[in-house]
Amino acid sequence: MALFPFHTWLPDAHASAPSEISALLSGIIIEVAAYAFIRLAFSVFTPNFIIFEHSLNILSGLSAIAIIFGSVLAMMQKNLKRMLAYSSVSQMGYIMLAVSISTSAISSSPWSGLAPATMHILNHSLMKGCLFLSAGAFIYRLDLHNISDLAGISKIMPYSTFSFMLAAVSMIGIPPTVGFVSKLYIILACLDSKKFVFIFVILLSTVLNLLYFWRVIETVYMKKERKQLSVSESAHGDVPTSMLIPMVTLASLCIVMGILWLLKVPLPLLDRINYLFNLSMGVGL
Amino acid sequence: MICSDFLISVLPETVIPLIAIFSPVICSVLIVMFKNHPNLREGWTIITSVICCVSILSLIPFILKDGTISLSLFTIFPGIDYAYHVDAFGLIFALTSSLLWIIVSFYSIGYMRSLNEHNQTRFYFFFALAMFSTIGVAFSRNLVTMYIHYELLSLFTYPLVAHEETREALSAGRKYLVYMITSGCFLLAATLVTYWLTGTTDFTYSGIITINSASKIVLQSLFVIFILGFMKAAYMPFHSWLPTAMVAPTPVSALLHAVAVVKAGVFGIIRVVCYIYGINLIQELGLGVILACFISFTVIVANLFAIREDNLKKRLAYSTINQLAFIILGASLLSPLSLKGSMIHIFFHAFMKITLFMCAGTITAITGMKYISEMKGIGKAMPITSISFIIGALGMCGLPPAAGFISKWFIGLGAIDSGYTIFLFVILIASLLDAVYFFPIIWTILFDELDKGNFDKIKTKIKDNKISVTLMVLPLLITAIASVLFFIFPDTLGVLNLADIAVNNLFCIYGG
Repeated sequence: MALFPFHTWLPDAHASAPSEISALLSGIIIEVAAYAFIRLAFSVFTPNFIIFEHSLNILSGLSAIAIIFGSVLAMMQKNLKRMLAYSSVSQMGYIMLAVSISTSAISSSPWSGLAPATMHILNHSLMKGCLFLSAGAFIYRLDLHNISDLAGISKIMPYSTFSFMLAAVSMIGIPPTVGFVSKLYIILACLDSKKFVFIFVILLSTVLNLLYFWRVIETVYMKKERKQLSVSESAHGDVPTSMLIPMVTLASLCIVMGILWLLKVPLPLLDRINYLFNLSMGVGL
Repeated sequence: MICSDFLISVLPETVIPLIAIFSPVICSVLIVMFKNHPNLREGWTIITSVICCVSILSLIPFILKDGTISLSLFTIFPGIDYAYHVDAFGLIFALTSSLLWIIVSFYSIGYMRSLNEHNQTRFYFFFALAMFSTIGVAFSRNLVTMYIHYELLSLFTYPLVAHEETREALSAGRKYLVYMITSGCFLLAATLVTYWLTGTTDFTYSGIITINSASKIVLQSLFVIFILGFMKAAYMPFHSWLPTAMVAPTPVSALLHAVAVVKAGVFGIIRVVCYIYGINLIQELGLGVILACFISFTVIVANLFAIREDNLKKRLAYSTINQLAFIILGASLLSPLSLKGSMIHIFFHAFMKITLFMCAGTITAITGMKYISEMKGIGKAMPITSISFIIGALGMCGLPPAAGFISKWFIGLGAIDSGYTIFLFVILIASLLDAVYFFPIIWTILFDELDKGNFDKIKTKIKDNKISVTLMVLPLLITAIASVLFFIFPDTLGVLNLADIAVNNLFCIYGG
């Protein structure tokens, strides 16, 4: 699942894989590992297992490092897909952090137990899927891999850049996107389990996310293109509709799903998961 | 007023705040749809700003009868609703923003057209969305709703700050956003800790945090985090984004960086001091005096920075920092009079500062001058602009016949009333420093020699662009006249009464 310190394969895999594979890789494949971990931790072992708590403490520490470390490395990347890959490392840190504090944050509140973790698994795949698909669209149409080459591309590919922007804003965690809801739930879970240092980690990561995503958004929207594109290249416009539909769907889901979370529509399901793993207070539905 | 009376009699009062909040969103969609028809596009902005303002005006009589309007859209967590409510204090802020939005809309049409700015659709689009966020902040019922609007405000104002797309504008935009999002993080943390401690985040007259909520030191540090969360108020040492953001087009500086954004920060601080902590608790924790001392530093030092600055807009920015600190100072003194002074200063300062900014923008748009040292004697070529500038400048110094006198008077009275007379001296010294940097500008504009060639050039430029110049000069004349009007009749629009109601509500509980 590319958790620090065993994350180094992920950026390399992303940089060379085709974008549709990248979207699956970060959107689904590494989440499978998170799912497997949850299964293993809560179905095979039990929360009462003696060394369980200690290992979860270690895990939460590792996740915190992953969150910061992944973001810092993402800031240093020139290649867009490598940057997104390091961002995935950081986001897996969020998920594992949420998993590791789940046993100490059991209450009757909506953010108890595994709810933030499962929520962020879905949210992350929406955001990261959209980001990789848009990054792929830039490569498909104009063969642009580096962030600095993307200057002024919003005029040529308005829909792809718009989806990228929505997903990036969601990664930063501006309300009412899915990223914001995840942040809200994880911080509340941290408060409930009295692990205040992680709140600081998450908020610091928000600022770091802003720094490296805004670099891209600024280049795409505000800068004038440095390289003059040939007429045939710019005349093509955006990628074909069949490529646009999934991208735009995921981007709009980043907002729609965020509002649905805030309306607590899918929460009974999360409560059911807690119940399944004996993490519920029994007040559930 | 007749129109607004009609509105409240026809519609249920819970719908009207929703109209005020969400009409700018609809407007922004219309602006994008009509992006190829500039006249229609700007028409939508004007129409919406009028609708927004009328609906807010129509709420005044209702609130003056000591009513409040409360509506909840949905529940986020137990104890946290996504909810709006209208009370006297929020209404003052909403009224300020929406009234000035109309005026700035006209001004920005003139400004953008006479400078032939690029990306005008984007400009109007984000301007409308920024207004949505501002009015949302004013009408929020709890901290979470406020946080949501506060973050959106940061995001939506970024494209306006970086509008010029030059290297300087882009770096200003980056700086702006980093400051805003960082402070947003602090606000989120403080909000959630408050929720965790008390189980609610609603604004109430007695405050929701009590001395038993947590230990003293926790409550004090939480307060520090709250204050860090409102960096929009541009207090020192976190002020530097504001002068940098002055690279934005003047309508943005005028409305957003003199009224909406910075006042949202100040508004938030007053909300936290009076409605989250409550005046009793702030006094008990000794936070009022600490905040007053801390903010006095800004009151004085911002003016020292302003004296040194030759760029007119940046000097005005430092003056804004100073005046914002005044408002916070008034709130931190915790006396009814100074609190009232703070609340009406939000309203009065907005009118005066927007006059000054619009004057600066008009001078730049017509003559291309940005630095005070260049503006020798232009008052002879632009008499109306100069007189309006003088009125605004007098208001900043707290001198009659501008409304700034009244609010400073109340804050000064409050300083004596609170027993910390030392802060009266802070106020007086700061006002003196205001004069030190505003009077030389007046001197330069009015009494220095303007050479003949320049005079003719300005006159022909005014003659050539009659419509856009009129669109720029008329709004600033209106706000200048309004500043004088509010001095003579401070209770026009019932602002003084609204502040009275807000203060009475807060202090009734304090007294009993």
